[in-house]
Amino acid sequence: MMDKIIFGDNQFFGVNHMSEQTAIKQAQKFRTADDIYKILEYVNDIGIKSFMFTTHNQLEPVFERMKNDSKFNDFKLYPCMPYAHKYADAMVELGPFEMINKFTPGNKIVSGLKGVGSLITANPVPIMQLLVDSEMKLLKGMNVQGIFLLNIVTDLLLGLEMYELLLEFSRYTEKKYNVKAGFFTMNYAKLNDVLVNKLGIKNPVIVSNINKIGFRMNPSQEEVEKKLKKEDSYNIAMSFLASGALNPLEASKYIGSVEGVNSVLFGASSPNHILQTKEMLESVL
Amino acid sequence: MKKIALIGIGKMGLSHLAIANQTPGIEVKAICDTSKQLLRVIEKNTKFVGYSDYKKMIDEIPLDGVMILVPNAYHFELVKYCIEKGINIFVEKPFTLKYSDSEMLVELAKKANVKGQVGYVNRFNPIFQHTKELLDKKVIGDISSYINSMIGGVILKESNKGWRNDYSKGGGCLFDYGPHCFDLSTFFFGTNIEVQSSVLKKVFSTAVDDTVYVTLLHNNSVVGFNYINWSDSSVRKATNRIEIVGKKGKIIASKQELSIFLTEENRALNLEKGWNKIYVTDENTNVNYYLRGEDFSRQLLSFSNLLNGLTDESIASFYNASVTDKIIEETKKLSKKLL
Repeated sequence: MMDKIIFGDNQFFGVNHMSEQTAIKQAQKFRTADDIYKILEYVNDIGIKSFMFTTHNQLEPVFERMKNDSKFNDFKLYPCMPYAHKYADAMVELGPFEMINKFTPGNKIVSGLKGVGSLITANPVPIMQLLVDSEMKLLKGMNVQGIFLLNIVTDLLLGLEMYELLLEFSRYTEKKYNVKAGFFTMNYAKLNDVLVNKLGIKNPVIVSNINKIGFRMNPSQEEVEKKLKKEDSYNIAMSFLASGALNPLEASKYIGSVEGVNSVLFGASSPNHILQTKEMLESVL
Repeated sequence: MKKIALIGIGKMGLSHLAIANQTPGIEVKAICDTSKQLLRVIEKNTKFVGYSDYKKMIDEIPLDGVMILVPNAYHFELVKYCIEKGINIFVEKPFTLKYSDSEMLVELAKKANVKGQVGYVNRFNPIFQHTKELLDKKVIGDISSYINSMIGGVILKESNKGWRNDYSKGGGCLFDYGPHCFDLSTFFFGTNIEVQSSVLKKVFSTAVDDTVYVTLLHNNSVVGFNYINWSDSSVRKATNRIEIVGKKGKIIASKQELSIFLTEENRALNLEKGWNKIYVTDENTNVNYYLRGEDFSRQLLSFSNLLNGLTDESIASFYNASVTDKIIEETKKLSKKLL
């Protein structure tokens, strides 16, 4: 069971799907780790106890501080991976073998063998496991409650019908980290069908766009709403404001009215906005 | 169901494969790549049949279409071969590296009755399509001029290495970003063009251009300044932006937002006098399958429609793409030396 309200990280890294200008404005607010830390302190203070984020390097100092601050003890972390740019850059600079070395923790010989072996046998599972471990290094000893696969990878595997790897990811997070896996997607209807019906995962956690105007609810708002209603997955709504296209009140009302939405992931850059959004969501969820 | 195969599974190839596999009306039968290792991974983990020789693949598998995703220098040879075999073609941009080659392929495809599409994905962006519609309806009156820019942060450090710093390998900003930028200009203002002036300038590279400045004249009436820069460190990903000035207003468009300024209200289109703003969230962006943005899904759906006879000609046709190759060639010639 997850919290109903989860705080996200897009505003920290200048991501806005609707407007470049908004993205620039947001990026200006979060120049240092201190800026990010302060907002997370505020979020924690007002009782939002879950934070979902992409494993950016910029968050490293933020987590270092968090570890030493007891008020964050009950603050739940949901890392989302892989942060693809990190690997793409390393691949270009170092090549595949050096990249595996750079990102694999612990025994270089063992992990190196695991990675190289994986390349040779054409089995992607060991590489996937190494990458998860590598991303989790950053969060050692912290209160991680779930590990999420970003939509660029989820949807690629979905498109290629490499369903087994989705199942392997799910198994690995449970076995090694004792937490549930979650999946971001821009194809809710397709993914729900694959996870529930084809792979038989019980109540999988899925994060997808759910908003009043149906923005990026693929293949259609109607299809997604129909699937949500079945309540055979744990559904987290993102982009409920459609990147700012909707006014918060009507956006919240819609979220409250859709059957099958269990939690909402949202981001905002000012304390005022965060509080308002939290209160509005609490009144409808 | 039309049967297709993909040739060349590089970085773009893998996502094209995923998208094609989910596009209604087409079925991916096989893939072809020279990397044995990649073929093994794909064959072991997916349902696709792998080939390392495209000619063998074409001989063995009956195909309605192919997607050619190999390095630019091989486009001509592969497209020509597929035309001769009577197979319809999607090829990544740019069409070829030489205008005369592109011209020849346009003619050959026409004679062989082969349908073609080139990977100019901006033409499938909902905001750019909306912009095109407004221009066709003359919403801002006769167009006098435009400024079209494409900027990004590809080369941000001094470098004299790599294929990007080598014209013979398709390097340089003109060959990399240029096609997308010029294609948008011909999409909006037509392919009857003259290159009026051009400047190529280095910033970090040593042997190729990092910024490009080109003036185009369309239909002897619309003048456009095209500014292309792949060395702008402020930009997170490649950004297209176009500002169009007409007698009755102005349009500013990017992939995400559209601003329209009108001197008079337009009742039919529900546009007010003064500024109007439309965001991508206002457009219908639903797709059957989404991977790297709806533009890519819509691009392949259009190829599927072409194969299934639902459209006669692609909006990103071989001919349109050949004109872009012409602009690039003339830009290079006209610029004389690299500054």
